Amino acid sequence: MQYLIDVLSQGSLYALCALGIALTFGVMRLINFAHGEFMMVGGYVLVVAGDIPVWAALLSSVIIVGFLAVATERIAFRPVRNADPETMLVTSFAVSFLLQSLAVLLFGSLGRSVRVFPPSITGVMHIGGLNIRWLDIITVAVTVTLLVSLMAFMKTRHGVELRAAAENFTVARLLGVKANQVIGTAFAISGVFAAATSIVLAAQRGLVEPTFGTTTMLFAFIAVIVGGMGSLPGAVLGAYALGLISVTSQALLPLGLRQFRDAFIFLVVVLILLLRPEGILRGHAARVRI
Amino acid sequence: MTEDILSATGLVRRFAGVTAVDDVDLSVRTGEILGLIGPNGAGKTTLVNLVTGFDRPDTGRVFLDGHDITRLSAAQRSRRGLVRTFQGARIFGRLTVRENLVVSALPRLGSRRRAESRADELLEYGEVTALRMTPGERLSAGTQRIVGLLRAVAAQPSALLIDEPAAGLNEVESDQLSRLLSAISENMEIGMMIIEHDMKVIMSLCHRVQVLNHGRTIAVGSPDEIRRDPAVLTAYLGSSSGNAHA
Repeated sequence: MQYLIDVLSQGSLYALCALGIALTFGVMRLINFAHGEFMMVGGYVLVVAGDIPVWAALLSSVIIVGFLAVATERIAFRPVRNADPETMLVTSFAVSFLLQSLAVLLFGSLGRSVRVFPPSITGVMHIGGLNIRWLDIITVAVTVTLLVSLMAFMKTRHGVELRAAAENFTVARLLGVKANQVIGTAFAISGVFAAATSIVLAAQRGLVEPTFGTTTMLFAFIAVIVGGMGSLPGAVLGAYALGLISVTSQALLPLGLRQFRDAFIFLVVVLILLLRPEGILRGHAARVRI
Repeated sequence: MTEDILSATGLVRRFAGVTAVDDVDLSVRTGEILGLIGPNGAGKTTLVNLVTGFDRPDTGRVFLDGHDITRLSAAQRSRRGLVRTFQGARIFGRLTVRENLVVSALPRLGSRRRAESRADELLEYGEVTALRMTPGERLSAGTQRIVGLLRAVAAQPSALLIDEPAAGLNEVESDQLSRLLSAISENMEIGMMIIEHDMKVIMSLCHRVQVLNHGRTIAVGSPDEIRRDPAVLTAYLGSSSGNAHA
């Protein structure tokens, strides 16, 4: 049971991050390495927010990162939209380094401590021998809420256009879907997910540094790839699978090997990809396009 | 010429020394179905690309409803009412059948409610209402073509280009598709152009047929005239795809 809670919590964190990555990949085939830095900015917003009420801090983080994501698309990614995926990838590296350097410049390379939630809700609940952290509950609740909202959004007009564009951008454009609008929407939502990830991550770690988002983003990327590049349900599935693998190897590995846990995780990932090269759910990126 | 909804004059397209389309004219009137045929490599695909805006001619012009659209992009042409279907339908597999039509109807109709009622009308028209909530990827090839066609019609085009509608379909499916095509042609104000290898489909459906060979128009006329045209017979018998009598 304890194990299940850990899996859910870890998987939810990856899922939040993976969805943000999968959204922008789906709509413009962009592998956005700056996503981790969107999260980092979200973290620093919480640091700067300091003692303002929790809801106000969270809201500002969501709004600022949302705008940052949209602005990044306008300034950095739109000019290379029709370029090769490699060009877009390198552009995202540039954005990533730029934001990290800015963070070092403004806040220094050492971590800054942050307290997202008041101590009353950062404790542990004891229910029948189980230790349930409030934070785990918050993590899962935030993920479920955002997932349900995202699913509801996907049924709306803009959601249908977004899904159409993610599946076949050329055909969607020919049918009159506006490219700028749909990509902007994808980035805005991606930013919201990045902010949500950063809130959970900041609450867990209590520390924000320039490389704040990097590790989680890397794991989320793996979740996206394992799930099937470009498939949103796949990204969620991949995230929870990764959570499962990660928590399981933490529990099963002998003490001496635990420091190599990540290596074992990646080993399992390699095995999955050997068996299903297109991911658990086949992403449409693997299919033939016009 | 003004009554043509879609027309082209003197289209030329060269690729590295090969003239893929060589001085081709074409015209389609509202309510008419023009068939475009020709042996493999005759320049059909290039011509379609020139008309729809996926490629630009070296010389020549394309007109939609009397307006010169030669310099417009494919998306711009589409917004003005020149819509195409794709080989193999290319419907959105993860969207439901109804959503496929809604996406296409939205730009013209503006509101989601109106787009949905338009979609429902067309689904009924194509007799696929039962499948409206089915994801596109679960449909048979034949039904995908039908949905692809309905999706194009949902955009309320004035001219419709249909790329190999019957390719890969069985007899029953291709008959069903032909019936839908002729119903659309009779009941909606659309000029249609069909590119197709299946002679049965072309001959039964089209009012006029234009034959290309080596990038040039070698014949234009009614299906009966085309069937008897010596130049057409030579072109087909001289190539590997000798199915003019099929």
